[in-house]
Amino acid sequence: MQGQRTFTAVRAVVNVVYYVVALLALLVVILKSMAFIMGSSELTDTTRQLTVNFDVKAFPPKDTLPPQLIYGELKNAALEKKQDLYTLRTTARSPLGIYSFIITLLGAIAVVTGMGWLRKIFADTTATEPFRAINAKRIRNIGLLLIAADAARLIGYFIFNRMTNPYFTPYFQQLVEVGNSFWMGLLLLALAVVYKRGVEIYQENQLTI
Amino acid sequence: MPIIVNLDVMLAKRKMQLTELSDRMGITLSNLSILKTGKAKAIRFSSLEMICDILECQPGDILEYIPDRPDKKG
Repeated sequence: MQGQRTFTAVRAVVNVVYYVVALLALLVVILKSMAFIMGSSELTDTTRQLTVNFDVKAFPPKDTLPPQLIYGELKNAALEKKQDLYTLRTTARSPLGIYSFIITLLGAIAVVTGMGWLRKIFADTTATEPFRAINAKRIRNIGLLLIAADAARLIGYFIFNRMTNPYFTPYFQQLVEVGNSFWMGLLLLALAVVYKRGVEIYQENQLTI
Repeated sequence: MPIIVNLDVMLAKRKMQLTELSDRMGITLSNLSILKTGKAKAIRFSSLEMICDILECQPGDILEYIPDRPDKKG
């Protein structure tokens, strides 16, 4: 059947990616846990000390930091050096470190779960029999997971700001990308509805003599 | 479903086995069993035509409409 080889290849790739992602997630969680258990609770030397880092964008008064523009040979284009990007360093046992540990743990669980669902979708599907009722639920679950991930990022952004900003000048914000997962999640929810209808039509077709 | 399939009745009248019908129609036995047991969702005109041709009967001899009983109230 046409597309059988491509399908088998994609299934194999998804399988490999799942195991790689699961292994990486496990590794990250182990490293974070080790840093949490064995790490120092006091910030001493940020250049040598293993710290928990957050990328942030600060908002200092504009007149203090003039933008540095580098012009090349490309017309009407300039390279601007961003002066207001910082890394907030903290120890693994600090409140921010604990927050980072929880976020990492939740993220690792979410990524492995989502990849697991994707792997099961490919494992339970064949090119000759693509419609399975359980896969509609899995596609919907992945969509909901992506939307929840964006919601968690947004909540995390506010928690981080609440935990840091009362204690720092200038004011800064955590750099997070919110929105992409949300739209992807919505798309998958719509796809799940279409897929579910496909399952119903397929089953009806199977029972047509 | 209020549509009743009387395939088994017609088969008995013609003294024919389901396997023979499936062989003559070129349809798998499992598919004909689905039709006979009333699990089928739909039947193609072509299939109905073949059944009527082989069993020498009318579609009305195979399919029967019996309305569902209304629920008792009170």
